[in-house]
Amino acid sequence: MSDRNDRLSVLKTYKLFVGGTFPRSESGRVYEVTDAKGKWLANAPLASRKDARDAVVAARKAFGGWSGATAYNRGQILYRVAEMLEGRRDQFIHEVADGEGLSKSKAGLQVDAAIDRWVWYAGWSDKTAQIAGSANPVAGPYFNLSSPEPTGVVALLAPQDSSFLGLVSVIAPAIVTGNTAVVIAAEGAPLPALSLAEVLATSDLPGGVVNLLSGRTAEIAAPLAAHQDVNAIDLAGADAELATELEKAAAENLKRVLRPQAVDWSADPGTGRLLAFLETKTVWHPMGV
Amino acid sequence: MSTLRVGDPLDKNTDIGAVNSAEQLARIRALADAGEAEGAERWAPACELPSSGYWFPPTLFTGVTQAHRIAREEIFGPVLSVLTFRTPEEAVAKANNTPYGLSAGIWTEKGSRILWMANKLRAGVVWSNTFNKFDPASPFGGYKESGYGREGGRHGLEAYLDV
Repeated sequence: MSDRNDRLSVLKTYKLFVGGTFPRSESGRVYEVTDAKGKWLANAPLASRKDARDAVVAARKAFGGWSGATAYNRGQILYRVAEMLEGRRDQFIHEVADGEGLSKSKAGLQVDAAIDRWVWYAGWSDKTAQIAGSANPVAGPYFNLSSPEPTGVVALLAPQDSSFLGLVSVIAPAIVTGNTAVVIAAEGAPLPALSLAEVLATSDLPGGVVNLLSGRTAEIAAPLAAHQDVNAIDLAGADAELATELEKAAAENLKRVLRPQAVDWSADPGTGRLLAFLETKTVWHPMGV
Repeated sequence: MSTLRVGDPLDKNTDIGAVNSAEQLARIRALADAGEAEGAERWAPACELPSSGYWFPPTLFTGVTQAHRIAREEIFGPVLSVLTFRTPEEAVAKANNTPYGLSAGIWTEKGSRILWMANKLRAGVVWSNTFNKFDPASPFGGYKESGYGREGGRHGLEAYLDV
């Protein structure tokens, strides 16, 4: 960051993003974020269990409005976010290059792919029902229709190996269908996520739709996996041992669980993550004159 | 309700069959007793029960509030808890105020109100102006703590494609 801070001697304080605002961790804790070579980059908030619970409350509060918005409107809002990401491209390249130890050109490819992916998922907003819904030919005089609906509040453990492209690849598919999210940023490279929050905060995305926490993944994920008001959890950022522990806690209230798997974040993502956090609602209605 | 016949589940004239175990019968009784103890009004028709086996008469509760156990817990017996509402919004809020979400039913004469309510109810199956309909071509399964996945229809088949 030094080349960017020649004039500005005040160091940037990265903050959490909860309910559309930027609180510090209620615990007051921070941790040191270093680049791939171990050089200090910034202090990031070390979120606590209380921060995780606050984030769930914010996400639940935002769910009614966001899931009730038209699919077209959600798509427009997300597309606008992609436009704003493009405007901050240089900042993200900088943070991804530092955090992941990539050259500027390699980091540039990651950021471009992430923005393209955000646009791609934004386009799915009014198209998921076509691939996940059905008109069912029941044996009787009934009009019977199944449609996909968001499952609710989704906890997302962002992948540890891809601080921006991986992050976007788990957030965008979860929220485009109307879910709201509590996201745990990559533990070692949380800065792109905390900067993404600054983009979301100034976009038309309602506060609380995406809530971003930085800190120790295992510490924040445990209360989220056990939380009775969280409907689903994406374990992308958990190692095998942590994933098992979290999946056990998640079973308590039958959370929908997406298990961690080896993912090439630069490959075509398919519709898996989009469809993972949907419920199918089937409505029966009698037909007759 | 007084015309409902309780008896042999294999007899096609039977409306209400047996409870599947002594344990479940005890649970239904405990919840029904809790309903009365918590202030709801209990009503059941005069009803002859078979002398052996586990049976519970069809039972109705009125004056139930959302705080009552018979409104919050799954009874899995022939017991109906009646809650009242004044506006459709209130009905939706009360229906969704539960950790479960398997099925819901709407009765109304207004078509647009059916679609409005069906859209807002957080349940896997919504029966409008009908109830308890099932079909192998129609997905069945719940939201929230009412289970994983769907059985039936394209969504039921889809699970068999993940190999």
